[in-house]
Amino acid sequence: MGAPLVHGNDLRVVDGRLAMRTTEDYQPIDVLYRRVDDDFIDPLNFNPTSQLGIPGVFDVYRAGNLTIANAPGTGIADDKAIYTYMPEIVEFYTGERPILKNVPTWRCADPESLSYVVDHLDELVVKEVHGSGGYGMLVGPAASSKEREDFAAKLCSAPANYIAQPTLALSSVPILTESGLAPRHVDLRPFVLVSPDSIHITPGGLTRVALEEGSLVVNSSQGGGTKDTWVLEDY
Amino acid sequence: MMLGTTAGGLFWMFRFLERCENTARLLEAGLRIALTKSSESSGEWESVVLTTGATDLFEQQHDRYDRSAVIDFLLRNPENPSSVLSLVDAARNNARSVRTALTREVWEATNDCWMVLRATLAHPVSDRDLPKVLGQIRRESALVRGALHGTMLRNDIYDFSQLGMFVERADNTARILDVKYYILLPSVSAVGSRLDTIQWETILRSVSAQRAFRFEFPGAITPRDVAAFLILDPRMPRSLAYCYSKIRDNLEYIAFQYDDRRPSHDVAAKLIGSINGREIENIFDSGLHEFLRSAIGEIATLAHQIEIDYRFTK
Repeated sequence: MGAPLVHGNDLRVVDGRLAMRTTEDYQPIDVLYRRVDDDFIDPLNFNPTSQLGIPGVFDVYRAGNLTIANAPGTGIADDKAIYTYMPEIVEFYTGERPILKNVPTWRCADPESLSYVVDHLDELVVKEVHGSGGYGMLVGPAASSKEREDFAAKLCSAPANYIAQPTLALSSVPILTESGLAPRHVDLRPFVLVSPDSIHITPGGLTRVALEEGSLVVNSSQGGGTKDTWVLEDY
Repeated sequence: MMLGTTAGGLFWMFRFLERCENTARLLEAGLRIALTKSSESSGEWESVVLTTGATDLFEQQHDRYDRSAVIDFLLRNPENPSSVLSLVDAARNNARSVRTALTREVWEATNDCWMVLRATLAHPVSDRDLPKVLGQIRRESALVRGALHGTMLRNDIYDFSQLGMFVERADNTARILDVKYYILLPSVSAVGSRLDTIQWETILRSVSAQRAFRFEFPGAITPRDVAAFLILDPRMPRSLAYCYSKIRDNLEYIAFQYDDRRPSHDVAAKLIGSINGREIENIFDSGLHEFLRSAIGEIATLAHQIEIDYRFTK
Protein backbone atom coordinates (compact mmCIF):
# COMPACT_ATOMS: atom_id res chain seq x y z
CA MET A 1 0.00 0.00 0.00
CA GLY A 2 3.07 2.23 0.20
CA ALA A 3 2.22 3.56 3.65
CA PRO A 4 5.20 4.07 5.96
CA LEU A 5 5.27 1.85 9.05
CA VAL A 6 6.07 4.04 12.04
CA HIS A 7 6.58 3.77 15.79
CA GLY A 8 5.58 6.33 18.38
CA ASN A 9 9.11 7.75 18.39
CA ASP A 10 8.89 8.49 14.64
CA LEU A 11 6.02 10.89 15.31
CA ARG A 12 5.67 14.18 17.11
CA VAL A 13 3.16 17.01 17.39
CA VAL A 14 4.47 20.05 15.48
CA ASP A 15 2.42 23.27 15.24
CA GLY A 16 -0.85 21.54 16.01
CA ARG A 17 -0.33 18.81 13.42
CA LEU A 18 0.92 15.28 13.77
CA ALA A 19 4.26 15.04 11.97
CA MET A 20 6.53 12.19 10.91
CA ARG A 21 10.31 12.38 11.37
CA THR A 22 11.85 12.07 7.90
CA THR A 23 15.23 12.74 6.33
CA GLU A 24 13.67 16.02 5.19
CA ASP A 25 12.55 17.14 8.65
CA TYR A 26 9.16 16.66 10.24
CA GLN A 27 6.42 16.27 7.63
CA PRO A 28 2.75 16.66 8.64
CA ILE A 29 0.50 13.66 8.15
CA ASP A 30 -3.28 13.51 7.75
CA VAL A 31 -4.23 9.92 8.48
CA LEU A 32 -2.88 7.50 11.04
CA TYR A 33 -3.84 3.85 11.01
CA ARG A 34 -2.96 2.92 14.52
CA ARG A 35 -2.28 -0.43 16.09
CA VAL A 36 -1.68 0.77 19.66
CA ASP A 37 -4.35 0.43 22.38
CA ASP A 38 -6.40 3.52 23.33
CA ASP A 39 -4.77 3.78 26.74
CA PHE A 40 -1.31 3.97 25.25
CA ILE A 41 -1.68 6.35 22.32
CA ASP A 42 -1.03 9.56 24.25
CA PRO A 43 0.83 9.72 27.57
CA LEU A 44 -0.31 13.33 28.13
CA ASN A 45 -4.00 12.44 27.85
CA PHE A 46 -4.14 8.81 28.88
CA ASN A 47 -1.70 6.39 30.49
CA PRO A 48 1.21 8.67 31.50
CA THR A 49 3.70 5.78 31.57
CA SER A 50 3.16 4.86 27.92
CA GLN A 51 6.35 4.72 25.87
CA LEU A 52 4.44 3.64 22.76
CA GLY A 53 2.36 6.71 22.14
CA ILE A 54 2.79 10.27 20.94
CA PRO A 55 2.51 13.05 23.53
CA GLY A 56 -0.35 15.37 22.59
CA VAL A 57 -1.70 13.37 19.64
CA PHE A 58 -5.15 13.30 21.17
CA ASP A 59 -5.30 17.11 21.23
CA VAL A 60 -4.47 17.13 17.50
CA TYR A 61 -7.23 14.59 16.94
CA ARG A 62 -9.74 16.57 18.99
CA ALA A 63 -8.89 19.74 17.06
CA GLY A 64 -9.83 17.92 13.86
CA ASN A 65 -6.31 18.01 12.40
CA LEU A 66 -5.88 14.27 12.16
CA THR A 67 -7.94 11.26 11.19
CA ILE A 68 -7.18 8.19 13.21
CA ALA A 69 -8.33 4.97 11.60
CA ASN A 70 -9.43 2.72 14.40
CA ALA A 71 -10.58 5.95 16.03
CA PRO A 72 -10.26 6.10 19.80
CA GLY A 73 -13.21 4.27 21.31
CA THR A 74 -13.77 1.90 18.41
CA GLY A 75 -12.44 -0.82 20.68
CA ILE A 76 -16.09 -1.34 21.55
CA ALA A 77 -16.39 -3.25 18.28
CA ASP A 78 -13.88 -5.73 19.71
CA ASP A 79 -16.38 -6.57 22.43
CA LYS A 80 -17.56 -9.96 21.29
CA ALA A 81 -21.08 -9.37 22.62
CA ILE A 82 -21.47 -6.57 20.03
CA TYR A 83 -21.20 -9.22 17.36
CA THR A 84 -24.56 -10.66 18.37
CA TYR A 85 -26.19 -7.37 17.35
CA MET A 86 -24.62 -7.29 13.87
CA PRO A 87 -27.79 -8.19 11.91
CA GLU A 88 -29.69 -5.35 13.64
CA ILE A 89 -26.76 -2.94 13.14
CA VAL A 90 -26.57 -3.76 9.43
CA GLU A 91 -30.28 -3.27 9.00
CA PHE A 92 -30.29 -0.02 10.96
CA TYR A 93 -27.57 1.58 8.83
CA THR A 94 -28.37 0.12 5.40
CA GLY A 95 -32.06 -0.59 5.60
CA GLU A 96 -31.33 -4.04 4.19
CA ARG A 97 -31.04 -7.49 5.64
CA PRO A 98 -27.44 -8.66 5.95
CA ILE A 99 -26.21 -10.89 3.11
CA LEU A 100 -23.84 -12.92 5.29
CA LYS A 101 -25.46 -14.74 8.17
CA ASN A 102 -24.03 -14.42 11.66
CA VAL A 103 -22.41 -17.40 13.28
CA PRO A 104 -25.03 -18.42 15.88
CA THR A 105 -23.90 -16.73 19.09
CA TRP A 106 -25.23 -17.01 22.63
CA ARG A 107 -24.93 -13.95 24.84
CA CYS A 108 -24.44 -15.45 28.28
CA ALA A 109 -25.77 -12.27 29.95
CA ASP A 110 -29.16 -13.58 28.82
CA PRO A 111 -30.31 -16.21 31.39
CA GLU A 112 -31.87 -18.50 28.80
CA SER A 113 -28.74 -18.46 26.68
CA LEU A 114 -26.61 -19.07 29.77
CA SER A 115 -28.48 -22.20 30.74
CA TYR A 116 -28.26 -23.48 27.16
CA VAL A 117 -24.52 -22.84 27.12
CA VAL A 118 -23.94 -24.54 30.46
CA ASP A 119 -25.89 -27.59 29.25
CA HIS A 120 -23.98 -27.77 25.95
CA LEU A 121 -20.45 -26.86 27.05
CA ASP A 122 -19.08 -29.98 25.35
CA GLU A 123 -20.07 -28.70 21.89
CA LEU A 124 -19.46 -24.97 22.20
CA VAL A 125 -16.60 -22.52 22.18
CA VAL A 126 -16.95 -20.01 25.00
CA LYS A 127 -15.06 -16.72 24.76
CA GLU A 128 -14.55 -13.71 26.97
CA VAL A 129 -16.21 -10.63 25.45
CA HIS A 130 -13.06 -8.54 26.04
CA GLY A 131 -10.71 -11.36 25.18
CA SER A 132 -8.42 -11.57 22.20
CA GLY A 133 -5.48 -13.60 21.11
CA GLY A 134 -7.24 -16.85 22.01
CA TYR A 135 -6.89 -16.26 25.75
CA GLY A 136 -9.49 -17.01 28.41
CA MET A 137 -11.55 -19.26 26.17
CA LEU A 138 -12.84 -22.79 26.37
CA VAL A 139 -12.97 -25.08 23.36
CA GLY A 140 -15.62 -27.43 24.68
CA PRO A 141 -15.08 -30.55 22.54
CA ALA A 142 -11.33 -30.48 23.19
CA ALA A 143 -11.56 -29.81 26.93
CA SER A 144 -11.58 -32.42 29.70
CA SER A 145 -14.69 -32.70 31.87
CA LYS A 146 -12.72 -31.16 34.73
CA GLU A 147 -11.78 -28.15 32.57
CA ARG A 148 -15.42 -27.79 31.55
CA GLU A 149 -16.60 -27.88 35.19
CA ASP A 150 -14.06 -25.27 36.22
CA PHE A 151 -15.02 -23.08 33.29
CA ALA A 152 -18.75 -23.43 34.05
CA ALA A 153 -18.10 -22.08 37.54
CA LYS A 154 -16.31 -19.01 36.13
CA LEU A 155 -19.03 -18.56 33.56
CA CYS A 156 -21.87 -18.63 36.07
CA SER A 157 -20.17 -16.19 38.42
CA ALA A 158 -19.89 -13.53 35.68
CA PRO A 159 -22.07 -14.55 32.74
CA ALA A 160 -22.04 -11.09 31.11
CA ASN A 161 -18.34 -11.57 30.42
CA TYR A 162 -18.94 -14.44 28.01
CA ILE A 163 -20.42 -15.41 24.70
CA ALA A 164 -20.58 -18.87 23.15
CA GLN A 165 -20.56 -20.15 19.59
CA PRO A 166 -20.68 -23.56 17.96
CA THR A 167 -17.24 -25.05 17.51
CA LEU A 168 -16.24 -24.39 13.92
CA ALA A 169 -14.61 -27.16 11.98
CA LEU A 170 -11.41 -25.46 10.87
CA SER A 171 -9.80 -26.75 7.74
CA SER A 172 -6.42 -28.41 8.04
CA VAL A 173 -3.16 -28.38 6.09
CA PRO A 174 -0.01 -30.46 6.31
CA ILE A 175 2.90 -28.95 8.20
CA LEU A 176 6.42 -30.22 8.80
CA THR A 177 6.90 -31.36 12.39
CA GLU A 178 9.91 -33.02 13.98
CA SER A 179 8.32 -36.40 13.33
CA GLY A 180 7.39 -35.61 9.73
CA LEU A 181 4.34 -34.24 7.94
CA ALA A 182 1.24 -33.85 10.11
CA PRO A 183 -2.15 -32.12 9.75
CA ARG A 184 -2.85 -28.90 11.67
CA HIS A 185 -5.82 -26.55 11.74
CA VAL A 186 -5.72 -23.27 9.83
CA ASP A 187 -7.80 -20.20 9.27
CA LEU A 188 -7.53 -17.39 6.74
CA ARG A 189 -7.67 -13.69 7.44
CA PRO A 190 -8.48 -11.78 4.29
CA PHE A 191 -7.67 -8.07 4.10
CA VAL A 192 -10.52 -6.03 2.75
CA LEU A 193 -10.31 -2.33 1.94
CA VAL A 194 -13.56 -0.40 2.01
CA SER A 195 -14.04 2.98 0.36
CA PRO A 196 -17.28 4.86 -0.23
CA ASP A 197 -17.42 3.53 -3.80
CA SER A 198 -16.16 0.01 -3.55
CA ILE A 199 -14.92 -2.91 -1.58
CA HIS A 200 -11.54 -4.26 -2.56
CA ILE A 201 -10.26 -7.63 -1.41
CA THR A 202 -6.47 -7.53 -1.51
CA PRO A 203 -4.97 -10.48 -3.40
CA GLY A 204 -3.50 -12.25 -0.41
CA GLY A 205 -4.21 -12.83 3.23
CA LEU A 206 -2.85 -14.15 6.45
CA THR A 207 -3.04 -17.91 6.86
CA ARG A 208 -2.67 -18.75 10.52
CA VAL A 209 -1.91 -22.29 11.65
CA ALA A 210 -2.22 -23.93 15.08
CA LEU A 211 1.07 -25.71 15.74
CA GLU A 212 -0.27 -28.03 18.43
CA GLU A 213 -1.96 -31.21 17.40
CA GLY A 214 -5.76 -30.91 17.42
CA SER A 215 -5.66 -27.31 18.62
CA LEU A 216 -8.01 -24.72 17.15
CA VAL A 217 -6.07 -21.80 18.62
CA VAL A 218 -4.18 -20.24 15.72
CA ASN A 219 -3.26 -16.97 17.42
CA SER A 220 0.39 -16.05 17.07
CA SER A 221 0.45 -14.83 20.68
CA GLN A 222 -0.18 -18.42 21.71
CA GLY A 223 2.40 -20.06 19.53
CA GLY A 224 0.42 -20.17 16.30
CA GLY A 225 2.35 -20.02 13.05
CA THR A 226 1.72 -18.73 9.57
CA LYS A 227 1.68 -20.39 6.18
CA ASP A 228 2.18 -18.99 2.71
CA THR A 229 -1.12 -17.92 1.18
CA TRP A 230 -1.63 -18.80 -2.48
CA VAL A 231 -4.13 -16.89 -4.53
CA LEU A 232 -5.17 -18.67 -7.70
CA GLU A 233 -6.19 -16.59 -10.66
CA ASP A 234 -8.99 -17.71 -12.97
CA TYR A 235 -8.14 -17.85 -16.65
CA MET B 1 12.34 11.40 1.47
CA MET B 2 12.16 8.55 3.92
CA LEU B 3 11.74 7.98 7.63
CA GLY B 4 14.75 9.22 9.61
CA THR B 5 14.73 5.92 11.48
CA THR B 6 15.02 4.05 8.18
CA ALA B 7 17.94 6.19 7.00
CA GLY B 8 19.70 5.54 10.32
CA GLY B 9 18.95 1.82 10.08
CA LEU B 10 20.54 1.63 6.61
CA PHE B 11 23.54 3.73 7.61
CA TRP B 12 24.31 1.49 10.58
CA MET B 13 23.51 -1.75 8.79
CA PHE B 14 26.32 -1.04 6.33
CA ARG B 15 28.65 0.31 8.99
CA PHE B 16 28.26 -2.95 10.89
CA LEU B 17 28.84 -5.09 7.80
CA GLU B 18 31.90 -3.08 6.82
CA ARG B 19 33.28 -3.36 10.35
CA CYS B 20 32.68 -7.09 10.33
CA GLU B 21 34.77 -7.45 7.20
CA ASN B 22 37.50 -5.17 8.54
CA THR B 23 37.77 -7.23 11.72
CA ALA B 24 38.28 -10.35 9.61
CA ARG B 25 41.05 -8.60 7.66
CA LEU B 26 42.78 -7.45 10.83
CA LEU B 27 42.76 -10.99 12.16
CA GLU B 28 44.10 -12.31 8.88
CA ALA B 29 47.00 -9.89 9.03
CA GLY B 30 47.64 -10.75 12.69
CA LEU B 31 47.56 -14.45 11.95
CA ARG B 32 50.07 -14.01 9.19
CA ILE B 33 52.52 -12.33 11.53
CA ALA B 34 52.02 -15.08 14.07
CA LEU B 35 52.69 -17.74 11.44
CA THR B 36 55.79 -16.10 9.99
CA LYS B 37 57.51 -15.19 13.24
CA SER B 38 59.57 -17.69 15.19
CA SER B 39 58.26 -16.48 18.53
CA GLU B 40 54.75 -15.25 18.92
CA SER B 41 54.48 -11.54 19.45
CA SER B 42 51.65 -10.67 21.80
CA GLY B 43 52.25 -7.03 20.89
CA GLU B 44 50.77 -7.77 17.50
CA TRP B 45 47.57 -9.13 19.02
CA GLU B 46 47.41 -6.18 21.36
CA SER B 47 47.51 -3.79 18.42
CA VAL B 48 44.77 -5.78 16.67
CA VAL B 49 42.47 -5.32 19.68
CA LEU B 50 43.50 -1.68 19.99
CA THR B 51 42.53 -1.05 16.36
CA THR B 52 39.02 -2.36 16.97
CA GLY B 53 38.66 0.02 19.92
CA ALA B 54 37.83 -2.75 22.39
CA THR B 55 40.95 -2.61 24.58
CA ASP B 56 39.13 -1.78 27.83
CA LEU B 57 36.67 -4.61 27.53
CA PHE B 58 39.38 -7.08 26.56
CA GLU B 59 41.55 -6.17 29.52
CA GLN B 60 38.60 -6.54 31.88
CA GLN B 61 38.22 -10.10 30.69
CA HIS B 62 41.82 -11.18 30.09
CA ASP B 63 45.21 -10.73 31.75
CA ARG B 64 47.28 -10.95 28.62
CA TYR B 65 47.04 -10.81 24.84
CA ASP B 66 46.98 -14.48 24.12
CA ARG B 67 46.36 -15.38 20.48
CA SER B 68 43.38 -17.67 20.96
CA ALA B 69 41.81 -15.29 23.49
CA VAL B 70 42.04 -12.38 21.04
CA ILE B 71 40.68 -14.42 18.17
CA ASP B 72 37.73 -15.67 20.20
CA PHE B 73 37.10 -12.18 21.59
CA LEU B 74 36.96 -10.62 18.13
CA LEU B 75 35.03 -13.39 16.44
CA ARG B 76 32.56 -14.73 18.98
CA ASN B 77 32.32 -12.77 22.21
CA PRO B 78 28.70 -11.65 22.54
CA GLU B 79 29.66 -8.99 25.10
CA ASN B 80 32.02 -7.38 22.63
CA PRO B 81 29.87 -5.16 20.38
CA SER B 82 32.67 -5.27 17.79
CA SER B 83 32.89 -9.05 17.59
CA VAL B 84 31.89 -10.50 14.23
CA LEU B 85 29.02 -12.35 15.86
CA SER B 86 27.64 -9.19 17.50
CA LEU B 87 28.10 -7.24 14.28
CA VAL B 88 26.25 -9.64 12.00
CA ASP B 89 23.47 -9.80 14.57
CA ALA B 90 23.25 -6.03 14.65
CA ALA B 91 23.45 -5.75 10.86
CA ARG B 92 20.64 -8.24 10.39
CA ASN B 93 18.46 -6.60 13.03
CA ASN B 94 18.89 -3.31 11.23
CA ALA B 95 18.16 -4.99 7.90
CA ARG B 96 14.93 -6.39 9.35
CA SER B 97 13.82 -3.00 10.57
CA VAL B 98 14.45 -1.48 7.11
CA ARG B 99 13.33 -4.58 5.22
CA THR B 100 10.93 -2.70 2.94
CA ALA B 101 13.72 -0.34 1.82
CA LEU B 102 15.89 -3.25 0.62
CA THR B 103 15.64 -5.41 -2.44
CA ARG B 104 14.94 -9.05 -1.88
CA GLU B 105 18.49 -9.92 -2.93
CA VAL B 106 20.07 -7.59 -0.38
CA TRP B 107 17.84 -8.92 2.37
CA GLU B 108 18.51 -12.53 1.46
CA ALA B 109 22.26 -11.97 1.25
CA THR B 110 22.17 -10.35 4.69
CA ASN B 111 20.06 -13.13 6.14
CA ASP B 112 22.32 -15.79 4.61
CA CYS B 113 25.36 -13.98 5.98
CA TRP B 114 23.82 -14.09 9.44
CA MET B 115 22.78 -17.74 9.22
CA VAL B 116 26.11 -18.94 7.84
CA LEU B 117 28.26 -16.98 10.27
CA ARG B 118 26.15 -17.84 13.28
CA ALA B 119 26.51 -21.51 12.47
CA THR B 120 30.25 -21.15 11.81
CA LEU B 121 30.85 -19.17 14.98
CA ALA B 122 28.65 -21.29 17.24
CA HIS B 123 31.80 -22.98 18.57
CA PRO B 124 35.37 -21.78 19.10
CA VAL B 125 37.28 -21.70 15.81
CA SER B 126 40.29 -23.98 15.68
CA ASP B 127 43.60 -22.69 14.33
CA ARG B 128 43.26 -25.01 11.40
CA ASP B 129 39.85 -23.65 10.43
CA LEU B 130 40.62 -20.00 11.09
CA PRO B 131 41.81 -19.00 7.59
CA LYS B 132 38.73 -20.62 6.07
CA VAL B 133 36.42 -18.89 8.55
CA LEU B 134 38.01 -15.48 7.96
CA GLY B 135 37.61 -15.98 4.22
CA GLN B 136 33.98 -16.87 4.78
CA ILE B 137 33.36 -13.67 6.75
CA ARG B 138 34.84 -11.56 3.96
CA ARG B 139 32.91 -13.47 1.31
CA GLU B 140 29.55 -13.22 3.08
CA SER B 141 29.82 -9.47 3.56
CA ALA B 142 31.03 -9.05 -0.03
CA LEU B 143 27.86 -10.83 -1.18
CA VAL B 144 25.69 -8.29 0.62
CA ARG B 145 27.70 -5.44 -0.88
CA GLY B 146 27.45 -7.02 -4.31
CA ALA B 147 23.67 -7.36 -4.00
CA LEU B 148 23.49 -3.71 -2.92
CA HIS B 149 25.48 -2.53 -5.93
CA GLY B 150 23.78 -4.87 -8.34
CA THR B 151 20.13 -4.47 -7.44
CA MET B 152 19.40 -1.25 -5.58
CA LEU B 153 17.92 1.85 -7.11
CA ARG B 154 20.34 4.78 -6.90
CA ASN B 155 18.19 6.89 -4.60
CA ASP B 156 18.59 8.16 -1.04
CA ILE B 157 18.25 4.60 0.32
CA TYR B 158 21.39 3.65 -1.58
CA ASP B 159 23.16 6.88 -0.60
CA PHE B 160 22.64 6.38 3.14
CA SER B 161 23.87 2.79 2.80
CA GLN B 162 26.99 3.98 1.00
CA LEU B 163 27.60 6.72 3.56
CA GLY B 164 27.60 4.16 6.37
CA MET B 165 30.00 1.93 4.47
CA PHE B 166 32.52 4.65 3.62
CA VAL B 167 32.40 6.43 6.99
CA GLU B 168 33.24 3.10 8.61
CA ARG B 169 35.94 2.28 6.09
CA ALA B 170 37.65 5.67 6.43
CA ASP B 171 37.60 5.31 10.20
CA ASN B 172 39.08 1.82 9.93
CA THR B 173 41.94 2.83 7.62
CA ALA B 174 42.80 5.80 9.84
CA ARG B 175 42.82 3.57 12.92
CA ILE B 176 45.04 0.92 11.37
CA LEU B 177 47.55 3.55 10.32
CA ASP B 178 47.40 5.25 13.69
CA VAL B 179 47.95 2.06 15.65
CA LYS B 180 51.00 1.37 13.48
CA TYR B 181 52.14 4.95 13.18
CA TYR B 182 55.15 4.40 15.45
CA ILE B 183 56.51 2.08 12.77
CA LEU B 184 55.87 4.58 10.01
CA LEU B 185 56.92 7.67 11.83
CA PRO B 186 60.65 7.58 12.68
CA SER B 187 61.90 6.28 9.39
CA VAL B 188 60.54 8.82 6.95
CA SER B 189 63.88 10.51 6.56
CA ALA B 190 65.99 7.49 7.41
CA VAL B 191 65.90 6.14 3.90
CA GLY B 192 67.14 2.62 3.59
CA SER B 193 66.93 1.73 7.26
CA ARG B 194 66.12 -1.92 7.75
CA LEU B 195 62.68 -2.06 9.27
CA ASP B 196 60.57 -5.05 9.76
CA THR B 197 59.06 -5.58 6.31
CA ILE B 198 56.55 -7.95 7.82
CA GLN B 199 55.10 -5.00 9.71
CA TRP B 200 54.73 -3.04 6.50
CA GLU B 201 53.00 -5.94 4.94
CA THR B 202 50.66 -6.18 7.90
CA ILE B 203 49.46 -2.66 7.35
CA LEU B 204 48.87 -3.31 3.67
CA ARG B 205 47.28 -6.69 4.24
CA SER B 206 44.89 -5.42 6.87
CA VAL B 207 43.34 -3.25 4.17
CA SER B 208 43.83 -5.83 1.40
CA ALA B 209 46.21 -3.48 -0.38
CA GLN B 210 49.36 -5.56 -0.78
CA ARG B 211 48.78 -6.42 -4.42
CA ALA B 212 47.54 -2.96 -5.40
CA PHE B 213 50.56 -1.46 -3.67
CA ARG B 214 52.89 -3.68 -5.65
CA PHE B 215 51.34 -2.47 -8.90
CA GLU B 216 52.15 1.08 -7.96
CA PHE B 217 55.43 0.66 -6.09
CA PRO B 218 57.43 -2.25 -7.45
CA GLY B 219 60.57 -1.47 -5.41
CA ALA B 220 61.25 -1.70 -1.70
CA ILE B 221 58.42 -0.84 0.68
CA THR B 222 58.99 2.55 2.29
CA PRO B 223 56.94 4.27 4.99
CA ARG B 224 56.46 7.23 2.72
CA ASP B 225 54.87 5.13 0.01
CA VAL B 226 52.66 3.12 2.36
CA ALA B 227 51.29 6.20 4.07
CA ALA B 228 50.87 8.09 0.79
CA PHE B 229 49.07 5.14 -0.74
CA LEU B 230 46.63 4.64 2.14
CA ILE B 231 45.98 8.31 2.82
CA LEU B 232 46.26 10.19 -0.43
CA ASP B 233 45.79 7.84 -3.39
CA PRO B 234 42.29 8.49 -4.78
CA ARG B 235 42.33 5.21 -6.73
CA MET B 236 42.88 2.91 -3.75
CA PRO B 237 39.39 1.85 -2.56
CA ARG B 238 40.32 1.85 1.13
CA SER B 239 42.39 5.03 1.20
CA LEU B 240 41.14 8.06 3.10
CA ALA B 241 41.10 10.04 -0.17
CA TYR B 242 38.84 7.49 -1.85
CA CYS B 243 36.48 7.12 1.12
CA TYR B 244 36.22 10.90 1.53
CA SER B 245 35.37 11.41 -2.12
CA LYS B 246 32.67 8.71 -1.92
CA ILE B 247 31.25 10.33 1.19
CA ARG B 248 31.20 13.69 -0.58
CA ASP B 249 29.56 12.20 -3.70
CA ASN B 250 26.81 10.46 -1.77
CA LEU B 251 26.10 13.56 0.29
CA GLU B 252 25.91 15.53 -2.97
CA TYR B 253 23.42 13.07 -4.44
CA ILE B 254 21.25 13.48 -1.35
CA ALA B 255 21.54 17.28 -1.56
CA PHE B 256 20.49 17.08 -5.20
CA GLN B 257 17.48 14.84 -4.48
CA TYR B 258 16.32 16.92 -1.52
CA ASP B 259 17.33 20.23 -3.08
CA ASP B 260 18.85 21.16 0.25
CA ARG B 261 22.38 21.38 1.67
CA ARG B 262 23.04 20.62 5.31
CA PRO B 263 25.85 21.28 7.78
CA SER B 264 27.24 17.79 7.11
CA HIS B 265 28.17 18.98 3.62
CA ASP B 266 30.49 21.54 5.19
CA VAL B 267 31.99 18.97 7.55
CA ALA B 268 32.66 16.68 4.57
CA ALA B 269 34.22 19.57 2.64
CA LYS B 270 36.53 20.22 5.57
CA LEU B 271 37.51 16.55 5.63
CA ILE B 272 38.40 16.68 1.93
CA GLY B 273 40.28 19.93 2.54
CA SER B 274 42.48 18.15 5.09
CA ILE B 275 44.07 16.06 2.31
CA ASN B 276 43.46 17.99 -0.88
CA GLY B 277 46.69 19.10 -2.50
CA ARG B 278 48.81 17.83 0.37
CA GLU B 279 52.04 15.89 0.00
CA ILE B 280 52.78 13.04 2.36
CA GLU B 281 56.03 14.73 3.49
CA ASN B 282 53.96 17.66 4.59
CA ILE B 283 51.73 15.38 6.68
CA PHE B 284 54.74 13.63 8.25
CA ASP B 285 56.32 16.98 9.05
CA SER B 286 53.32 18.25 10.95
CA GLY B 287 52.89 14.87 12.65
CA LEU B 288 51.26 11.75 11.26
CA HIS B 289 49.77 10.80 14.62
CA GLU B 290 48.18 14.25 15.01
CA PHE B 291 46.89 14.07 11.44
CA LEU B 292 45.31 10.65 12.00
CA ARG B 293 43.85 11.51 15.42
CA SER B 294 42.24 14.56 13.93
CA ALA B 295 40.97 12.53 10.93
CA ILE B 296 39.36 9.97 13.27
CA GLY B 297 37.78 12.81 15.25
CA GLU B 298 36.47 14.57 12.15
CA ILE B 299 35.05 11.34 10.71
CA ALA B 300 33.16 10.85 13.99
CA THR B 301 31.96 14.46 13.84
CA LEU B 302 30.76 13.93 10.29
CA ALA B 303 28.88 10.73 11.21
CA HIS B 304 27.25 12.58 14.09
CA GLN B 305 26.32 15.54 11.89
CA ILE B 306 24.77 13.24 9.27
CA GLU B 307 22.73 11.66 12.06
CA ILE B 308 21.47 15.09 13.13
CA ASP B 309 20.89 16.51 9.63
CA TYR B 310 18.84 13.58 8.44
CA ARG B 311 17.11 12.95 11.75
CA PHE B 312 18.17 9.37 12.36
CA THR B 313 17.03 9.45 15.97
CA LYS B 314 15.34 12.75 16.81
